[in-house]
Amino acid sequence: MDHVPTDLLLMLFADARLPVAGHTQSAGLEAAVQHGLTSAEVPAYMSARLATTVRVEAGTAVVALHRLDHELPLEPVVAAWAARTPSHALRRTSRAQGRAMNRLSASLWADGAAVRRVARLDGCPRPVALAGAAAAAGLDALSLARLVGYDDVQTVASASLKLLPLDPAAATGWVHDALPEVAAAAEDVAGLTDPRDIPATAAPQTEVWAQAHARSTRRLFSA
Amino acid sequence: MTILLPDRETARGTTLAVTPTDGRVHVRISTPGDPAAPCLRPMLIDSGARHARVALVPDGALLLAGDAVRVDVEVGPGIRLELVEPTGTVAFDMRGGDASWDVRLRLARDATVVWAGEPFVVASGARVRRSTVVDMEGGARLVLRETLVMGRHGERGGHLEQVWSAHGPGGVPVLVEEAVLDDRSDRPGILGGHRALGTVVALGVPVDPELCPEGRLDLEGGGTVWRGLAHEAHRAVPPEVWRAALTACPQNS
Repeated sequence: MDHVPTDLLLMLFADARLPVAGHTQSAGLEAAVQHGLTSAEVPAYMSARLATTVRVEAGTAVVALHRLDHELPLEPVVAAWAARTPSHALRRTSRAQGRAMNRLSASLWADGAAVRRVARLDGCPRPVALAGAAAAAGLDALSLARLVGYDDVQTVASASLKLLPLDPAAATGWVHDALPEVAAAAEDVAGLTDPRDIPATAAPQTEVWAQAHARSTRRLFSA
Repeated sequence: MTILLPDRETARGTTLAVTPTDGRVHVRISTPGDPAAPCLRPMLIDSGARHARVALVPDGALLLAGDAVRVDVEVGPGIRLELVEPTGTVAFDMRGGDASWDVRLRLARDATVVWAGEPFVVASGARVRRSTVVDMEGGARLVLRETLVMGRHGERGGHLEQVWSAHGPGGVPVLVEEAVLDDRSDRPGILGGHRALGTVVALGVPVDPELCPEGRLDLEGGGTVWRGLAHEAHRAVPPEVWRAALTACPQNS
C-alpha cells in the first residue's frame, strides 16, 4: 500500500460520515440530559469524560494496537477492558460499535491480518476494533489515542445539538476548547503496552446514568 | 495508574488469617510493628466450625497525617469471615501531609468474606491514598460495602485517590477501578456535585437479575456492583441493596 499521511488517515477515521452509525451515539449525553444536565454544563461533562472513560477507551485501543503489532493475544486486552467497564449497558454499546467498525474494516482492508484477528474475537469492543483498523491502515498509537478522545468530544457536541437548544457554533467552540485536554489524555496513554496498565478511571455517575438510560424507552440515541 | 501520592512505609500493619482446623476455625491475629503507631485491631466476636466474625477496631486516633493503615486478610478454603467496623473513619485535615489505607484480601477456594464497611469521610485538607486488592480462588465469594464521603457536613472534601481491584482464578481481572476524588470530581459524570459515593460489591454470588435495578451494574465475568450517589452518607448505600447482596450469599455454620 502507498504511504498515506497520518493526518489524512485521521480525517478519514474521525469523519462523522464514516458508516459506523456514529449518529446513534451521544457518549452518554442523552442520559445526562435526562438527569438534568444543562447546556452550560456540557463542557464540564466533556472534560469529565476525558479524565475518566476516554482514558479507559484510549488505553484499551493503544494496548490492543501494540499487541496486534507484536502478534500477542488480544483476549487479555478485552478482559482488562471489561473489568474496567462495569456497566453492562456500556459494554453492550461498545460491542455493537465494534461490530460496525469491523464490518467497515473488513471491506477496506480485506487482506489485513489485524482486521481478521479483531473480527474473530468473541465480543470485540469498539477500542479493539479501532486498533484493528489502525494496525491495517498504519496509524500510530498516539494518533489512535487522539482519535478516541476527539471522537468522544465530537460525539457529545453533535448530540448536544439534537438534545439542547444551542447555537451549533457554540458546540464547535466546546470541541475546540477541549482539544488541549484531548491531546493530554492521548499523551498519557500512548506509550502503554500492558493490559494491566490500562487506566481504570471510573465515572460513577456516567455508569449509573447509562444503566437507567438503557432501561428507558424514550430516547433518540442508543447510548 | 493515577497514583500521585507516594507509598508510605507501614509503621504497624494488621494481619488476620482464618483457616480451617478440626472442630473450630483457627483465627490468627497480629499487629506487627511500632506499638505506638495506630492500626486497625481485629477483635474476634464469634466463631464456629466454619466461620468467624471479627470487628476491626481503630487502635489510636485514625486517620491523621503520616498514618499508614494496612490490613492483610487471608481466608482459608470453605471458611466464611464476616468483618464489621464499629465506627466510620474520618481522615482529618493533614496540613500538607498525607496518609494511606491499604487492604488486601485473599480468599481461598469456596471462602467467603462479608465486609460491612462504614463511611470513610475525607475531611477538608485530608490527602489519602486508599487501595483494596482482592484475589479470589474458584468458588470464593465477596460481599462488601463501602461509602466514601467527601467532607463532613458543610465542608468541602479533601483529596482521595482510590484504587480497587479484584482478580479471579488465574489472575483474571473481575473489577478494576481507580478514582481521584477532589474538587475536580464534582464535574457531571463523576460525582456530579454529590458528596457521598456508595458501592456494594457482590462477587461470586448470583443475585436475582430483577432485584434492585437502580444503580446496578452486572459485571462481565459474573458478579454485581451497585453504585449510589447521594448528598448524605447514609443514603449512598440503600439498605435494600445491602440486604439483596447479603441474601444472595448463603450462610454456613
